[in-house]
Amino acid sequence: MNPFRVLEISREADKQQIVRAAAMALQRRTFSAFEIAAAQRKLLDPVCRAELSFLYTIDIDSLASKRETSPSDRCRGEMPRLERLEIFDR
Amino acid sequence: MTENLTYQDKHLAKAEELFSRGSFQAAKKFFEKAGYGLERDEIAEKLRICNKEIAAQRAKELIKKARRCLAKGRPAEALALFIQAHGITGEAWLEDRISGLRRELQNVGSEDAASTAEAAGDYLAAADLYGRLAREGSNEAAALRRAHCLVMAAQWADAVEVYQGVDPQTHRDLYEFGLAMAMTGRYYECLKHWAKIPSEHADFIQQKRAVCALLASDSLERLETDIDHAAVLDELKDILRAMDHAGLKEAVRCYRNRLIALYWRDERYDLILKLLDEIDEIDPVLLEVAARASFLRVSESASELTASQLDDLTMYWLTALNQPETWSKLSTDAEQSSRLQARLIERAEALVKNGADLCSGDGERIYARWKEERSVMEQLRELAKGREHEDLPIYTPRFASRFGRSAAMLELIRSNRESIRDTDRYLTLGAYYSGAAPALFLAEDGCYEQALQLVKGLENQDEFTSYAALKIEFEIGLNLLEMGDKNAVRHIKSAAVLLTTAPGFEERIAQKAAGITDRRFIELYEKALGILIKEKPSPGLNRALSTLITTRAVMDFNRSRISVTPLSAAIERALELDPDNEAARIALSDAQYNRDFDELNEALEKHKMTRACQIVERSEHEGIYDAFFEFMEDAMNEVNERVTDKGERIFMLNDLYKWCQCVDCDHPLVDELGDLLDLEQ
Repeated sequence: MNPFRVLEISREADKQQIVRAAAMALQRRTFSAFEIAAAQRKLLDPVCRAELSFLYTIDIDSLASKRETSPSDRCRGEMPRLERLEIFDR
Repeated sequence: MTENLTYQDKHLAKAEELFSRGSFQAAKKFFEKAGYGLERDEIAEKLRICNKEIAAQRAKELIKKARRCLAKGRPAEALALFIQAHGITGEAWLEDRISGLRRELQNVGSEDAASTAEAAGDYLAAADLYGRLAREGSNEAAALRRAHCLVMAAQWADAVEVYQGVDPQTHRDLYEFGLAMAMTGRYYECLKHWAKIPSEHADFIQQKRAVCALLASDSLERLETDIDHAAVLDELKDILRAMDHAGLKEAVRCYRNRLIALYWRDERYDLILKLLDEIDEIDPVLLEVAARASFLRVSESASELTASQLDDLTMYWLTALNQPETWSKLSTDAEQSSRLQARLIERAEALVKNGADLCSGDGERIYARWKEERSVMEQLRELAKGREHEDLPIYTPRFASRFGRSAAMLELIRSNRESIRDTDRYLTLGAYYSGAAPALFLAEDGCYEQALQLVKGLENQDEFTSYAALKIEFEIGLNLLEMGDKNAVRHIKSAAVLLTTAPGFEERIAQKAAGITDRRFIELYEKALGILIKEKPSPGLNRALSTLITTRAVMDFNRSRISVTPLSAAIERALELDPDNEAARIALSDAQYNRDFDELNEALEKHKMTRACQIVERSEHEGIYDAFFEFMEDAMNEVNERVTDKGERIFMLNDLYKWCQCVDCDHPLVDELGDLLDLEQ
């Protein structure tokens, strides 16, 4: 289970934020107390946290912004106007 | 100027003459020539009269033709002519005539009228007429002609609607349906319809490419909106399969990335990997996504884990963790980054190992491959140590083969040839990144024949591909040996030369041979080992063959298939191969004992005592000596108990005494027999 999601915190959250997030997660009751405690424990352990950060974080912005050029500009350049062809009239 | 006026006057005179004769067409020409550069009202007026008269004449001719058509029973053609004449004169009576004819034609059916209107270029009217026909008689042909007329009149949306209700079959109909779709923004459907037309006409191809560009552009404009991205991606891929188009490729890439981001948010790792499964090019960002998704999917699969999920993890994980981009993300401190990398690899290995237990046969294969690839990666990392400044990424063999990254690894291996002391290791590493790599993977998966075919069909052969071919031959041989197939020997023979560079294979076959107990398999292994020993004798192979020969000989002897003599001969051969074969030594000793024992028994039974004594003296086995004296003791007791005649008893005891003394005069039985004889005498 993704501990960052369980506690609803970002990858950069500090110790204080983790503890606070755990308390709030207990109030929300979306996850069991056991799951929340496990998430907090893992994230407070620096080595474990480094592993989890690598595992559960992807650079979504980098993925989404991987458009090389504006689609319209790129495609429209090669577009002639569509006109009815007569080659199929016979 | 004078000449000019004269010239114009001449033209004017000619024009007036023609005008008065009623030749308005010719008169018009001369009036135009005469009037050039002059502003004379009378000329303009006469030109107007000429034009009017010419038009009236044209209209008269059209009307005449129309009447002729009517006379010949061709009202539709007559209608078209009347329409043209009306266009010229605008006379009211013509209007009435046209309306009358139209009514008349509608009464007899509008097909001709529609055709006529179509021929006359009045496509809207034709479409209307065809529409009526289609409605009245559920006439599909009329509907198709209506759709065509709508296309000709550029009424795209209406044309699409009509085409959707019919079944366009001809190339023209399919083309026009597609065109109407494209004109209404339905580019994917347009291309699907056009795909049914097997035309390679350059204009058509160009137009298809234009629609592809429109489709790509339109899709990308909708990328950020709330649409079914998966459905659009499927459409784009569908078109891309039939047509290579850069714009579409870009659109597919964008949609795939978008979907990956959406699936990641929803933790749908299986869907992410399915998307990544289709790509042939991968960048560091996607590689990391693939590695994480495969890791998380395996760690969350528990009992539902499949071999292919485990396979994905092994495909991406080691490569992802050996990319410079990934190291920098692990930690800013190089040492810590290295530690974390090692921990993450260990975690994955634990997952693969556990998963392998859950996936039975395939799992073992995958775990073996993981270990092999991990070892390969470690060796390559060692080789790359001197080139850290280049930030050299390292790829596992399977990853490199799939994404075309083998050349860089091969270059790394070749440039480090001197530092790899073990030739076998050098060739193994190189083979994994050579053109033979896919064949090696097939062989690892047990698809031996396919693997052999593939490697033998390679165009570019080098030291690595040759090594791979031999390795595959050897694997096939080993596999067939395990199955007891006679063809194994042929493959082992083909690969025997491998032993000169790779002693590892020698160990493998020797290990396998050591556990063989089935006689059918022993013979095959004996043959295979014999071939290999001939190619490259080695203590390991000799030991293995010696064991097999001993096992088979003893097995045959125990089942009375062979006598002591061939048993001894076989075991002596085994000892020649491996003088330290203790089992053979014991077996030989046992065989000799058995042989001596049999011969002794035979001699004693036939009372050939000289022969019996010779056997006892020759035999190295104490058992034979003991057996002889046991026999003599039994004989002595029997003489004592059963022979009543004293003389006969003395004679027989003397005999026994003599033979015993001949073998060993110090044996207690000799003394006993001596005492008995003294008592008797």
